[in-house]
Amino acid sequence: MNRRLILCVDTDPGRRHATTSALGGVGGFEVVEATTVEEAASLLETRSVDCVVTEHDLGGRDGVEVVAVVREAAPDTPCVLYTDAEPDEIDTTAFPTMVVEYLPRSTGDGRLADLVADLVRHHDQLGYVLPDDEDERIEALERYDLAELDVEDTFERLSTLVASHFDVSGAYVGLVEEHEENYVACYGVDLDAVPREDTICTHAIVQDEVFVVEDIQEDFRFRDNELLESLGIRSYAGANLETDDGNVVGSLCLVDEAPRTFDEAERADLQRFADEAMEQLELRRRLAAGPDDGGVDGLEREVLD
Amino acid sequence: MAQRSTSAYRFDSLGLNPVEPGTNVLLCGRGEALDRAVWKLLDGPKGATRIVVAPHREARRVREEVDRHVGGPSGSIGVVAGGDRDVDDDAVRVVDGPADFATATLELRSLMESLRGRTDDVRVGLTSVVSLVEAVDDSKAAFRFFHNATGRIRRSEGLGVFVLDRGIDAETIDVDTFEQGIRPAFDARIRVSEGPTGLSLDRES
Repeated sequence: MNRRLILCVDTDPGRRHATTSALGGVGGFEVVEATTVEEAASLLETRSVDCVVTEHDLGGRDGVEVVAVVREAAPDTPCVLYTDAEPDEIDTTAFPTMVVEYLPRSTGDGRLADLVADLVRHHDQLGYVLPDDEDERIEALERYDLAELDVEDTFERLSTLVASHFDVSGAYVGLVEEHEENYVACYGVDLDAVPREDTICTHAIVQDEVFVVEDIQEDFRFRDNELLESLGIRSYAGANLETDDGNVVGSLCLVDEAPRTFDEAERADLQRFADEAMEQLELRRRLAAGPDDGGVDGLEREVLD
Repeated sequence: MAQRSTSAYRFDSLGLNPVEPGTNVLLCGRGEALDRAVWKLLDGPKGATRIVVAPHREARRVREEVDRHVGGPSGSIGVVAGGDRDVDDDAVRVVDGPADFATATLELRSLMESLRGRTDDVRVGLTSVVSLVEAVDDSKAAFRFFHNATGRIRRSEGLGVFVLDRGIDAETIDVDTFEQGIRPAFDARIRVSEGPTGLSLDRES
């Protein structure tokens, strides 16, 4: 596994060196440095980091501004204010709902390294909920290389079919990846990759049953979601795409421009369509894989062809 | 009194044993039964660290309630709450109300740090989760706040009690949907009710 990458932000060379030494030495992390808010922002445009550790006093600017930049560029990334400043010296007036970890510098570098390791391992500042088996789920998802599986046309047909069957304005197949949802096929709605914290499927995949939101505007998780509002989505139903070993890799979803309900029979139908989609993914994966990787051998391939 | 052995939090009279260190529970109920359950879970052996986070309430009153229900020597109690900032009490940290997630986050961390190492029994109560979420039109910030708080409690091997008052007169959210949506952020849900034999706590992992 690649070493975790930590961004350390501090204007003071001595402090910055001490922090990076602790993270690199005690913590065993790879560390990149920035000396200003702007430098941090620029770096986040080109590199994906696992955690940000910032001093609060940045010579006229401050660590709160760094956290604001991170939340905009990479919202899932945990942030730590590692500083001698007391909480009442940290002005958060401009960002009252900002959540950041705080560790007094006096506690020592070993504590910082432990804290960062734990924050990264447990994803402690996410704006959404995670499945209990998230790491295993991501590993399972990586088995399905969409470019190789050539499944888009099939899923386009499926999306069109289910939208018609349920009489909704849109349908799509989405795969929920580590930090964003990617859409394999869409009907009636135009979706590109979306940060995970902004998608309904993020919340659908932690549910065992078909997940229904009858009215987006009545649900605290989505009522403030600007993307859904811009797309005119008012209701949603999503059925899990679940692998044979129980990992949910994404959802088959219905959306509509008006609030609506889905009865038990409709929910069961949607799950059956989702199971068909998952079977397509799995069969294509097995066809593409070699026999040593759970794929089909020559005779099976002939039968399948 | 609720006791903590070296390996787990124990609640012999409530039928919840064992509650492993680092556990965060969503405590759901209403009325007086919920209040009693909160204080029973936050109670602990003498010297245990107890912190109550109630940004929607007045800090002095919260401190008085903590003293009345669980007490404890100076240096073992902490309160993060709203109201008048002119409070001459090291145990009390004042925020600007339930929407002030940023200050609550910093002050809770600071309090936990200042009380750290005194005992291995650390109990944090947060009330109420509905009030916090209603105060902001930002569900992502709310999830971040809960994840960050539960993470701290997990790291300190404490017990986190996040109170969902189902009897609250919520104006902008549906409490059933809210409970379903927020449940995965916690290790377990405990349903509180008043039965014929007294307080009943049912744990669902």
